[in-house]
Amino acid sequence: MSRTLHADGSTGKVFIYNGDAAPSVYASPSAAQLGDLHFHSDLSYLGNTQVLEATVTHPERVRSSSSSKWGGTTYRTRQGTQSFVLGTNTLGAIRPAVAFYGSAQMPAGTVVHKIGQSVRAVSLIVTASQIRLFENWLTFDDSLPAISRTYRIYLFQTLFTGFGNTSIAIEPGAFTAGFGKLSTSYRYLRRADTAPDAFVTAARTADVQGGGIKVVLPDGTSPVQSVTYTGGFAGTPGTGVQI
Amino acid sequence: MTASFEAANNVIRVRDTNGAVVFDTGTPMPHIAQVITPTLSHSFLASATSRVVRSLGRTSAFASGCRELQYICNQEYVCRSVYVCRQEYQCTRDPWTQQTTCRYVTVCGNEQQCGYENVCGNEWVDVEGYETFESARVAAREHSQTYTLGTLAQGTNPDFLLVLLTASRTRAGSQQDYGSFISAIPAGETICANGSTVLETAFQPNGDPWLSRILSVFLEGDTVRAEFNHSNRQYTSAKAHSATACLTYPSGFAPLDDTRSDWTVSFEVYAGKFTI
Repeated sequence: MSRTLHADGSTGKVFIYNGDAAPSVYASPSAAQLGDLHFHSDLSYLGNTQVLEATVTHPERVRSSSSSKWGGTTYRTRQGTQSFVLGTNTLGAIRPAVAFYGSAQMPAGTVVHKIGQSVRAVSLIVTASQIRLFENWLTFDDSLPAISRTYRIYLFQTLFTGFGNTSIAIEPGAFTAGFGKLSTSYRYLRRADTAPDAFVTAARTADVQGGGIKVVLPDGTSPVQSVTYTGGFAGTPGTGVQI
Repeated sequence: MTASFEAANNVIRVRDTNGAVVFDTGTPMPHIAQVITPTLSHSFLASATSRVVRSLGRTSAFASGCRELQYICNQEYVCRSVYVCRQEYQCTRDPWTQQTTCRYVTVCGNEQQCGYENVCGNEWVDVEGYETFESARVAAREHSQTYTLGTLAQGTNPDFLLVLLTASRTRAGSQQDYGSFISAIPAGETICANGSTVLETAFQPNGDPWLSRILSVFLEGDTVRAEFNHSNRQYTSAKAHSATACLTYPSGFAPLDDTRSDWTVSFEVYAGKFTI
């Protein structure tokens, strides 16, 4: 089937679609017509991803205990939080992201260090100026030694509004179409079935049963399954994307 | 190198000045079909609780503080002053007549008499007490609740969701062993929350979780849903509380765990779709 590139001189819209229907069919596409489009300047694309990798040294968390000659050792629960700056948000706005802990995509609230009941769990915070990591830690009868963990974050720019008034322009150093929404100055997220940088999903990535938890990432791996988990969650494959 | 635009072999391709492919009709690109920003509140209700007896014992009479009125007889060595009269044979000699006259006379007076006696009476006596060691128990519970966050335009049929959320735990469940359930969700901050998010966890003494709570954002057709999922196995607190009583074993005194947590969550859900 043929493909059509249409640039509308009056509206400025540019779209590339599958087939040879009249361009007016896809000028303002319905939800059902999205499946026919390769590109449309009305749509909002993801790209110019900020890639940030940072190693955090989580500090030692010392248990609280007291000993007496007669009563043995008594432990007390200690709990606290700390926020770490992983880097600057170069996009300057709060945008969707995908976070990794080590080589695995990381659900918010992931436990990254555990000894006995003593534990620390983290989430990724996105602010307009920074990308930060939030840690909640708890100690009882074990101290948590300082430990280094590496995190990688893909922060996606969302191109919701075009810029300028150029419908389509082909120059030696640049190509732009659809008010800049299709531009050689932009790095688009693209589907990658082999060796993807990350996965996106529309499904659950964890389940709880019997008090335990099992995480199955969109790439099919299961980085967390507690001994107490009693369910049969298998996860749902996601779609690989290339940054 | 210059940027390029190609339309050849039924493929439209754009390359940048480095030769990297920026756009290719053969490679689907994701775009955001719709963004929804709902807010909702959810309560993870408390699991049923009870108390279990860990052990029973007796406290020593010395330390119990318990006393009892008892009729007690004791052998006691008792001395008393007794008025006693005796017949004594007495002789007197008359100095004038030189005659001796003897006769029995009665002699009376007080005298001390001692001996063992059985002394009985009601007495308060220290007695052993009753001691109970008790712990709180949380009953096993599985529960999930699903909310509709929004419905996308019919036929959108998205391929993925990118989720940011801002959550606040307005009431935190806890266990007396280790305090509030651990949660790595910072209050009022925007976090990356694609797929499922671990909201709360509580751990057994061996380090395995006995309570887990997650929030999942997922698609059902064109509807974006949020599911709050709770699971806990039966948990008996490692901490035992003791109480003593004088008449019987005491019960029902151990403080119970309150596992209820309340959350308010604001979502920013990007529903994405790949082009063909």
